[in-house]
Amino acid sequence: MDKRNLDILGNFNILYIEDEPELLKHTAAVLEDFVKNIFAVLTCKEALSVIQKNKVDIIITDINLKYENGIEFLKELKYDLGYDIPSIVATAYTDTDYLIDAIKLKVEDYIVKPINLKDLLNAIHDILLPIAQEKEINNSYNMIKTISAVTDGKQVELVKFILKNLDDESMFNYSYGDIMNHVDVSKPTVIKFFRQLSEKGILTKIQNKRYFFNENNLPDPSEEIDE
Amino acid sequence: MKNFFQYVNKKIKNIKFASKTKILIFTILGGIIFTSFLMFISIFALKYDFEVLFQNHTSPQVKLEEIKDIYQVNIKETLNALKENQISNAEGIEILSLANQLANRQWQEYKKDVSKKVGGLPEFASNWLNFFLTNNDSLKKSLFEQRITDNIEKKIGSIGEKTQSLISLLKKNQAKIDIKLIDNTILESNSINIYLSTLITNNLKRAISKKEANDKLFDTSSIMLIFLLSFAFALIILISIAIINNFKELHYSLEENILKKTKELRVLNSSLERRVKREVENSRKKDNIMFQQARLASMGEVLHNIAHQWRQPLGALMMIIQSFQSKYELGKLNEKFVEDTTNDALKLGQNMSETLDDFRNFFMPNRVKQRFDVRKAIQKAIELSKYQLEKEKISLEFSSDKSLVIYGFKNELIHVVLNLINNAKDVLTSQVELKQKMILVILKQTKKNIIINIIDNGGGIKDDIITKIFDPYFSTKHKSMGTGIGLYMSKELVQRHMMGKISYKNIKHKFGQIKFYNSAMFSVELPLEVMKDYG
Ligand SMILES: Nc1ncnc2c1ncn2[C@@H]1O[C@H](COP(=O)(O)OP(=O)(O)OP(=O)(O)O)[C@@H](O)[C@H]1O
Ligand SMILES: [Mg+2]
Repeated sequence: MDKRNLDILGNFNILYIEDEPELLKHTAAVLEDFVKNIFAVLTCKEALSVIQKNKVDIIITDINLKYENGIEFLKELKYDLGYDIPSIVATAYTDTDYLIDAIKLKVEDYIVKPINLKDLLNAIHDILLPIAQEKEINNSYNMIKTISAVTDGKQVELVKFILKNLDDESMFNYSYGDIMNHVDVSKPTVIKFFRQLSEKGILTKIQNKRYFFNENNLPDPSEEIDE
Repeated sequence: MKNFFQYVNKKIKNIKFASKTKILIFTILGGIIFTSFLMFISIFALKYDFEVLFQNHTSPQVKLEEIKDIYQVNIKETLNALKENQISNAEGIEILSLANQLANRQWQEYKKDVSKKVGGLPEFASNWLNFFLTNNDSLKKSLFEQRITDNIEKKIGSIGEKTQSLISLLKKNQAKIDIKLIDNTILESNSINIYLSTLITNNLKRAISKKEANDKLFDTSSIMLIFLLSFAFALIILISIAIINNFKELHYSLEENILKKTKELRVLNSSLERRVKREVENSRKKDNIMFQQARLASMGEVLHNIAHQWRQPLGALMMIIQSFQSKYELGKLNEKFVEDTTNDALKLGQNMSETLDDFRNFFMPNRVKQRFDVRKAIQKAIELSKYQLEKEKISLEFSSDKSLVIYGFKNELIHVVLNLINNAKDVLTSQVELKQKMILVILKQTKKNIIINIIDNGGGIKDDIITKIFDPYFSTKHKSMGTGIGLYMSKELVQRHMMGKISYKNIKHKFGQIKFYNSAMFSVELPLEVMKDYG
């Protein structure tokens, strides 16, 4: 977990609330290198108008704002206005009062001031990662559906069956007859498909009724998508 | 004798003064009463003796003398005349019967006079005195006297009888015949005369002896009187001397006492002077300690402020450093970024350094008079309490006409304003329901004064403690929150060092647009002249 892939941040918008202008300015200058958009504001009022006009993926707020309280703002946002945006609170205090409030509010994470940049980025990453992954899975799923629409549908059925029935050691333990019992395909199709996979080093026959699925030999899908 | 006197003197000395006076008065009174009593008694006794002498011994003598005369002249002469027939019988009868009657009457009167008592108070006094002097009455009628008296009576009787019989003879004109009877009667009257003379002599003798007794009585009573008087006199003199001595001693002891007390007083005075000096010094020391305490207390608060004021730029600086690393790793470290960010960092560092300077200046113990801008001093005080005010969500508004440069102790003025702002902050913090917490600081200038008003809408101060708020160690706050020095020290600083005044008023003040709040207002008034005089 040491080195996170911070590239996933590049697809998200961040709202940053901090009443200290210097800190706000310099933190924003760093974050802007990592994220799609950084909205840096001094007050909760500005923050609200940003939320109403833009898609905000994550909120980072100082607790002790001038005449305001970051946690109070988050509460209002969640319970009164119905926004459910993941948030991180930053505080100079390790004050339990604030922490209890934060926990009750189900704040995703908190960081202690003075801000350590790596901690902040990691916290952002950890919150955004599941969202990014979900997005990616969705993408892959859509991709497969698209492919199956334009290519042979039987082959897609076969791939699904193989991946579904891999054991813990990535072994596929079925004979052709077993496959044909489960998937509605003809024997020549199965043989042709297995040969193709074997040629690419993806599915290697170890013995009878026993095949090894080599994940590493799969081509990089992102390259294909990017193109 | 001398010893005795000393002994008495000592005894008397030991008696209390009041008792001495009482004794003196009693002695004088007793002396007077006793002497007067004795004098009265003596006078009455003398009077008695005189009466007795007169009544029993002098006036009866006259009667006896008369009786003698009657017998000598009337009877004897008449009888002789009859014998020689020089007078008629009728004349003789008349004279003789008359003489007899007279003699009888006088005798009776004599007896009555002799036995007559004086009586009354004089006799009582005399008896009492006689008894007192054990002087028994030696003057009782002697047997001899009694016998003579009896004989005289007998003779009077027999002469009476004889003259009677003679008279009856005379009536018959036979008298010349009884010459014998006449001679007999003459003889008898002679003898009666002898008796009477003896009685007179005896009586005179008695009078003489009575006088002697009287003399004795007089002497004794005189001696007694003299003795008594001298005794009383001596006693009075003795006691008077004792009292006078007492007075003298009292006087001396008083004088001594006064001298001693004066001395003590002088000593006390000088020690008092020393003590006052010491106390003054002590109180100055105490004040100093208190100021130190107060300074430490506000140092705590200001340190808190500094800490916070440092925390912000420190956070920003740390972020700047990290941004360099981040940009470098991403290959985005260009010249413009380095220049801009370094400038920002330097500014932040400068800011931090200034904060430190403020702190150091404010708490530097040396008190130096300097020219300074009052407005700036107040701003500094506000700056120093800014963090606490923000934390408690208290808004502070400062209004001033213009900048005013004066000469004086800048840090002390800052301290006073800081104290007042802190008090306002404390009271506003305690008002949980108060929505808008506000402090107004107003700087004004009149012809003679600079006035700094500090107003808060925390409700003011209750009447019953208003008179105490400037007292040292008076505080309504919890021990950990306030020591009660703040206002006392502010007053001392303003009055002693700035020659000004600090006062308090509960007022109603309009904060914002509409609402009037019960407010506390502290006013610091600094005379312009004094402040300028220093320049
Ligand atoms: N602005 C104010 N409003 C209401 N009460 C006040 C105000 N200022 C002072 N007082 C009252 O006067 C008291 C004395 O004030 P003072 O500043 O001398 O001592 P303190 O604030 O209690 O303690 P310290 O200043 O030593 O920390 C306070 O305890 C408070 O009750
Ligand atoms: Mg105080």
